[in-house]
Amino acid sequence: MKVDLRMRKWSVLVGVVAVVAALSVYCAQKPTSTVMGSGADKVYVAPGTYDDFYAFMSGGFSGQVGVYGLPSGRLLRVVPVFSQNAENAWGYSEETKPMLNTSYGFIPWDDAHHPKLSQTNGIADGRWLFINGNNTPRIARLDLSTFETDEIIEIPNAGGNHASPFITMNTEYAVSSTRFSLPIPQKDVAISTYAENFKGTISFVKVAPDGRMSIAFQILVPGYNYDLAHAGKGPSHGWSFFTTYNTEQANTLLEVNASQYDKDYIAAVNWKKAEEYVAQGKAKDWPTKYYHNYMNHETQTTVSEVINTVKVLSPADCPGLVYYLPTPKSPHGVDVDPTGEYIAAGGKLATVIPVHSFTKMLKAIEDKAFVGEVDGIPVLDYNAVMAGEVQNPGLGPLHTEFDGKGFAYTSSFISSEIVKWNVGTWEVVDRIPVYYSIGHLMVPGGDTMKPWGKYVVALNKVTKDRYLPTGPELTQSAQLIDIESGKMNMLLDFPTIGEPHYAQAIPADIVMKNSKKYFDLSANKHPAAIKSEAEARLERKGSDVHVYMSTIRTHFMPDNIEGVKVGDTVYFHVTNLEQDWDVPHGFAIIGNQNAELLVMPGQTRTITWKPDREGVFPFYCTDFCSALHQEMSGYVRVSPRGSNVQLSSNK
Amino acid sequence: MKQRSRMSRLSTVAMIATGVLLLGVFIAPLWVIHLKAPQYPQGLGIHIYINKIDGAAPHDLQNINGLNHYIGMAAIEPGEIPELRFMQYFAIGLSVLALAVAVLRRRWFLLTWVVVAIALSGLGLYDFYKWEYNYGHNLNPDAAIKIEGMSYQPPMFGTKQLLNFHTTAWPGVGGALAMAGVMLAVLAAGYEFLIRFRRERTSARARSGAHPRQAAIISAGFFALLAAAGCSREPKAIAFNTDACEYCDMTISNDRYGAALVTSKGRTYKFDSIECMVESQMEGEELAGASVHAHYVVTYEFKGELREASTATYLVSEGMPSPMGANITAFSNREDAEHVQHVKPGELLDWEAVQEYARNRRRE
Repeated sequence: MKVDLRMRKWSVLVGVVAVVAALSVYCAQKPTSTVMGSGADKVYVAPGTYDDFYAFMSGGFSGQVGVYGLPSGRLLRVVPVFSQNAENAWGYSEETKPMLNTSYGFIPWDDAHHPKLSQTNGIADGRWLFINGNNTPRIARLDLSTFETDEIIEIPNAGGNHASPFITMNTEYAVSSTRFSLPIPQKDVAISTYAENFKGTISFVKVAPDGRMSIAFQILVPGYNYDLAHAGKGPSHGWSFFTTYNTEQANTLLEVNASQYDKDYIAAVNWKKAEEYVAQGKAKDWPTKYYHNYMNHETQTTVSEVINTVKVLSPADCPGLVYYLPTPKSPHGVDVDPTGEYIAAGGKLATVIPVHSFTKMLKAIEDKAFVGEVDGIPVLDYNAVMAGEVQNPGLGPLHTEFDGKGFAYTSSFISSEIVKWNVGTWEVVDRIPVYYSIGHLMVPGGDTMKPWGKYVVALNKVTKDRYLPTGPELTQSAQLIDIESGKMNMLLDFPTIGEPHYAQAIPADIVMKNSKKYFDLSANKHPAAIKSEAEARLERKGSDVHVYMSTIRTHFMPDNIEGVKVGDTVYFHVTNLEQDWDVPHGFAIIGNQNAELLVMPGQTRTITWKPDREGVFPFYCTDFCSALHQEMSGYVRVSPRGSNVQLSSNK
Repeated sequence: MKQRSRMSRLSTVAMIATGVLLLGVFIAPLWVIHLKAPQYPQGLGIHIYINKIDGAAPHDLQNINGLNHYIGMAAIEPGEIPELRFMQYFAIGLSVLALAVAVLRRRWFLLTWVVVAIALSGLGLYDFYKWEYNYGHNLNPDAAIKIEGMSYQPPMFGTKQLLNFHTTAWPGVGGALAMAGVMLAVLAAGYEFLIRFRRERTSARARSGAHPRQAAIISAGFFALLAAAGCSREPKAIAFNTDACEYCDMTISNDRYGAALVTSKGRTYKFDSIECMVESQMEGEELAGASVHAHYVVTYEFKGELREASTATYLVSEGMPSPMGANITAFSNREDAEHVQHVKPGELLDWEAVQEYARNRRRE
């Protein structure tokens, strides 16, 4: 080990000398370049050319996902997930409204924190992106062939789904845990009875080969705050790790009361063991209620199911299911290195980064090196599991990602910097200030078994003086830092939507080759779809009027509608007959207390309108579709209640 | 094998290949039209098969029809194009007949096949041109976009800008295969008639005919050359008393004199005398960017006819004045020239020497 250590030092020294030599040669050659060192050449993506990476950044409190190109930092798209989006009727159209159903009813917003790309053999595969809804506990799955939210599953028995989705290395499971412990099942108790009445849950959500999610089981755990997670990989595959804080079990003024203990825990969950216990019938079926909403691709409509039971495992009944690893002090992030051996914890109030060894953990379990037990969960001896401590890691270390070359990068919130350290020697080798107050950081593939490296992206909460001021509310931002040359080099600042809480990145070619250009009209089985203008029609069912309408460059069919009456509910079922890339049509009607529709080629979408007065009301296409886009419009005539104007159109 | 009017094995194999190549039109498009516009960086494409019209990508045809409605072009409805129903039978027929030629191995049958195939191909191309013409010219008067004097006929070969669309058309793989098939048959016919038939006719006297393979190569080379040139390089006949000399501008009137040169591009330049032709070249007269392919002269014996200059004999005699005073008379037969020389004393020269003589005269 000592020899190995010395070798590494030597190689670092040689590396530094080589870099200095290379830089001096480079500088000698190009002394006058004003771009030199600014990194402009490294982030410049010429007009008409593609970025190297897709970066998926959560929108935080915006509830959405921002898709960016790296290294340019260009915003490519905002995918609506948990928040209604009037721009394209996400959560307004009849087809997408059910996606936001929960046991609490229709929830138009959530706080989206941790995007995670699906993985195969521990490597991001670009099929799906999972992201948690923090406030009303949910997990969403985005389909990366359409960049649309495909599924949202609610997590019962949880309060604040923060340690989520942190999928396993073959996307067997997405996980969830309760950030806020609760009375489970919910009941009306005094908050001060926290210690006796409150419990936590850790949930494993099975992901089927087609992506469909279902809650496999929940593990009932002591009433702490479960904060973040990561799945094991390689040798540690089969385990997932969750940080806890507030082992003090405070229920008020947590900033003081939950910061008293010297150490909190990382919960190591053996989910393969859990599968065995479930198979043995050790899980209890608890009554509950949660929603599972998914897009039926044939009908292009969300199916919303209510599920009334969940399987629950108790560690006390299931020895070997969960172990606690003591970890200083209110740990936040828990990150597993690409080899699967090391588990780094961001002790946000700690002065060191503790790194646990998976091998040592297994040995400690075998040796029963326990220092205590909580509700049947053995607490392992810190010194028996700890591989090393990174000294002087900055103030408030939070999260760590890896470059696959033996280095780790940890964000430090309070000292507002990224610290690079050597995995194995635990020595800090580089640091760079970031602006300001970094939360998560992201290396492309940096939490998988195959980091693509190249950059580390700082995801900052505070920007202060970094951009032109925009009143009291300022943008949050990401910063792109080059890590290829050995020394971290700041390349680019770019503003982000909402809060760029966490992010994932993947080489562009993996995703772009699957990108859908349009929906196949012939495969559209939406019950209100029409396949040609000939099928366009009107139908009245009581006070509901259904308009089966088509769009194609550059007209609606029908575009003159009469016989609608005040008090009716008009359903505009709009089918976009185009079968061409990048030709959506929009639909908006005056005074609609609802959203506009954007309909992709081959798609059918429905928006309702409740006319409240007589008259003739224009509608038009909102998405600039052709040279005659301005001509793409029509009228609806609204007659008084009881009028005998017959339902008719120009068709 | 040696029997007269039987095709050689080489030609038989060629005709089998022709029959097979023709069937290529069923697997690949005859013609491909590609459209590119700023909004369509990947382009849109029309693939014209023997029996259907398809987009290069799914829905391309629908999208082209959709876009064309703005300028009033009719939608391409493959079901409404009768050629797509019956053309395939011609292709099958030609293919079967080509194989029949290979089985029967009759030269006359081969020749007939070639004539029919070329005629059908010509008709097909003409029909295609007409369809393109109508497609581009018959525009709906209610179209949203009308541009005075603009029509949208797609090209047959090459590229054309039609509003925002850069339109390119070429034979598709199927069309190329069919053309190659017909070309093979033409080569076979050429080999049979121009080389083998002639050789057989003179075989009694022939010391030794060209080796069949050599002959095949020669004939292939000849036809390839012909195909590459794409036009004839035979001189156009001089219209006496009508045509003017390219060099001195005088009307060509004496039909025992006169000369012409054919350029590499097949264009004929006519002169009233050999001296004018030689002098014009000394001055580097423009030949529209082409080089001289061959020289021709009118000989004394064959009035008005152009013969290859290198085969003639030239008499330079003061007793035989030529139109521009160089006294050069061309004879097809050396005997004739010698005969005249007795009467009109002078010097007999070959083509090289007479050019030199004309050039020297000019220099003086």
